[in-house]
Parts: sequence; structure tokens; C-alpha cells
Amino acid sequence: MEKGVSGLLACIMFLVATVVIVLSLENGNKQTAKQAARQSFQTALGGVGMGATTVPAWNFGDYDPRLQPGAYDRLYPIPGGYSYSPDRLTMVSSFQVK
Amino acid sequence: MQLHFNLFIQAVLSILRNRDRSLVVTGCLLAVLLPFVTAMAVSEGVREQASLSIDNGADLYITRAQYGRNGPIALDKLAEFAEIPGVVKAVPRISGRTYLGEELAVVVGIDSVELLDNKNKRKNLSSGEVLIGHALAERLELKKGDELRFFLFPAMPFKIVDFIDGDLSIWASSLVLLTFNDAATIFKLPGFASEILLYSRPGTEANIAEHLSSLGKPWDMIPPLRIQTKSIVNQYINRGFDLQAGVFFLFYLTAFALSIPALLILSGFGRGARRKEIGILKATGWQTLEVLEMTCIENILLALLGSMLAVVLAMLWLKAFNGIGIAPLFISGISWIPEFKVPSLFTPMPVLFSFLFGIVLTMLGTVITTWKTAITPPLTTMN
Repeated sequence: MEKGVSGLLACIMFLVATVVIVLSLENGNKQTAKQAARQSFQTALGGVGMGATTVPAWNFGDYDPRLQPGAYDRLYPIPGGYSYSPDRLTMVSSFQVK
Repeated sequence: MQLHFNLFIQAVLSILRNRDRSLVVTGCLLAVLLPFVTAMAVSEGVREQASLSIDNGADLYITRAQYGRNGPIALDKLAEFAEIPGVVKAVPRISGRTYLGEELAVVVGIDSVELLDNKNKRKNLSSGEVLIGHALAERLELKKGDELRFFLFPAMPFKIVDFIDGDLSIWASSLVLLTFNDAATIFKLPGFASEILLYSRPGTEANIAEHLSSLGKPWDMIPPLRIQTKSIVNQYINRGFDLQAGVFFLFYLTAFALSIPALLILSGFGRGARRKEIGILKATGWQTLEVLEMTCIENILLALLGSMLAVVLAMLWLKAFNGIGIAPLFISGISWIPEFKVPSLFTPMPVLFSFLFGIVLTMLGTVITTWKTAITPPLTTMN
């Protein structure tokens, strides 16, 4: 087999193997120390945070709808998409103010 | 079997021979798939942390409904709530927002927070002590042992006993934790909690919610209770995350729009050389099906290379480089170089989508033109 052929095939196999290993590590049931720490943190606080923001801009609606009623479609981190919430006027964008 | 193996080797050789074309196709796939895979991984990471927050939180959250918003609830109800059948414990909590310097901070006052002291013994957070999110402390240039004062109650100093690790939760970055009574003091509402957390025995959540709804009389001049159960909160997550799946369309529309040049390149770039190549193959005795099989293998390999490269680069970007430059597009309130670990979770579905998308794209661009060329007499094609 030519050197280039084996090189390209090895490259593809390496990429596939990397993806499979990372996927199995990420989706395995094994609980890591980090996960346990996250669980005990949330247990101690009684559960805080749900949305895709780290700051309580204007109100808690995006930060955690448990703290203040808010639009639940804001929880998803990917911006854009149709607004399903009647209290949102923006269609594809919005701005955050600290 | 030998024939198929030979066709496989020829497909690999064809990728290497048409290096420019292969590089352009892989580059186009990468440009389309990398943002998609990265976005999905961040979304799943945030979703996982949100689920942790719900699963390890309370079973019921009780507040007063005031003008349609959450209002404070008097602590004199605590004992009454704790006696409801099925309730294991009732914990008052204050969660509010105030300024620390020029930064907005989420203030949580609860008495269950434990610390490890110098001798690694567990002790509760004492009055006058706070834990502060690492990112917030960095922005305010505060160190362990420093004193801080809240804008709402500047007369009361607090000592920073420790930082909250940014890896614990993205919402910890702007969090300040203190005791319940201290929080009641700085918000100037002693005797009230912003919510009462109820922990219940499994399967009793609905009954407790019903019991709570029946408390009080319609003519009582007290605002009604707002009750949120764990299952309702779970619905927020499911609705919020699932409804926004419409974003998939947005991404795919963008992806297809970006793919148009790739399609043009696939069907046009190096077409003359490709036609001649197919003509020579046909003249040397190759069957049309064999030419098509080789093209299909070539496309599958290119799709595999492009999609897997996109996933590996997305993994590197998020895991090794912590989503520098892309994280603020998905999580608001963080800087371009995030101060904490950006959550990400790679799941099989986006990887599979990426691969299938790559196959569809490359096949669309080549199969029909290859077939048309292969059924043309070799002499015409070579000319």
C-alpha cells in the first residue's frame, strides 16, 4: 500500500477513534468527582440557575425561572429561532444589559 | 471482495490525487459543521448543569404571588409547611440581586452551606462571612480575607472566607453566598424569605402541592401562594430546550446556504480533469457501477474526514481552549476569554448528523455528474 494511502487512512481512523473515546467518556454513567461536587453544591443551595446566562440582568427570568416567572424559551443557549414566548418581542436577537 | 478492496484503494488514491478538490471540500464541511457541533455541545453542557440544578434542588418552591410576580413569604408559615404530610424538611432561602461595586451579583442566603476549616473539619458559614463566585471576585479584584460591603446595606461589612469554584456551575460565577439572617438583613426584610424550599418523600409532591393550594380562605387578605414543583420546573427545561429546537432549522438553513459553494466546487472544480479520468477508467475496462462505487467510497471518506475533523476541533476548542471567542455567543454575561469552565457535552446525535450531512452534501455534488460522465462514450469524455 502506498505511503499516502496508509497515512490518510490512519488520519481518518485516528479522528474516528478520538471522537468515539470522547463520546464514550462523556456519556458514560461513571460519576466523576467533579460531578459529585456539582451535585453537592446544588444540594447545599437548594438549586440555583437554569438559563444560559451568568448574570441576573434586569430580572431573574433568564437566570432561573424558579426565582421569577420568565420566558422558558430563553433557557436554550443558542441564539435565534422563533420566539415562542408572548412576552418577547425580538425574533432573532436580543440584548443583555448588566 | 478483492474488487471492492481495490476500489477502496483507488478512492483513497483519487482523494490524494485531487488534493486541491479534497482540501476545498473538507474545508467547506468544516466551516459548516464546526459551529454547529460546538453550539450543540455548549447547549447540552448548559442543559446538563440545569438538570443537575433541578434534580438536586428542592421538591417544591413556595413564594407569595404578588401582582403576578414572586413575592416574599413570611417565616411564620415555616412550621405549618413542615407539618404537611410527606414534607421531610422546610428550608427558608433568600435569593436576590444587588450591586457589589459596579457589578450585579446574585445573593443567596441559606443556612445549609458548609465549609472546610483549616483542620479540614466541616463548619457552617457564620454570620459576617461570605463565599463569592471566582469570576465576580476577579472582576472586583477581591481576595480571600478581603472585606466587602453590599450597596443595599453598606454599614455591614462581610469577610470573604472562600471563593466558589467556577467549575461547579456557570451560575456560581456572579454568586455571593451568605447566611439566611445576613441576607435578610442586607435586603432589609427580616422575618421573610424569598422562597421556602420543601423537601418531600418520593411520590408525595403532588399531594403537598394540593394541600398548599387549599390553605387559607378566599376572603383572606393575603396574597396567594405560588407553588412550583420539581416536575413543573422540569417542564421549563424541557419546553425551553425542546421548543428552541427550531434553531436547528436556522442552523441547517445557514449550513445549506454555506454548502452551495461546496456543491458548485464539487460539481465544477476540476471537472475537466475528472471527466478525463473517468473516460480513461472506462476505456481501460471499468464498468459504470465500479466508477460509481469508487466515487461513493471517495465521498464517504471525505464526509468522514470533514465531519470527524469538525468534531475533534470542536472538542479541542471547548475542552482545551475553553471556548475562547465562541462561549459568549451562547452564554451571556461572560467575557470572550471565559473566567470559568464553559460547560460542554458531546452527544452522539450531532456527530451522526454531521457525518450524514457530509455524505448528503458530497453525494449531491458528484454522483449525478459522475454517472452522466460514466455513461458517455470514453472517446467523447477524454476529448
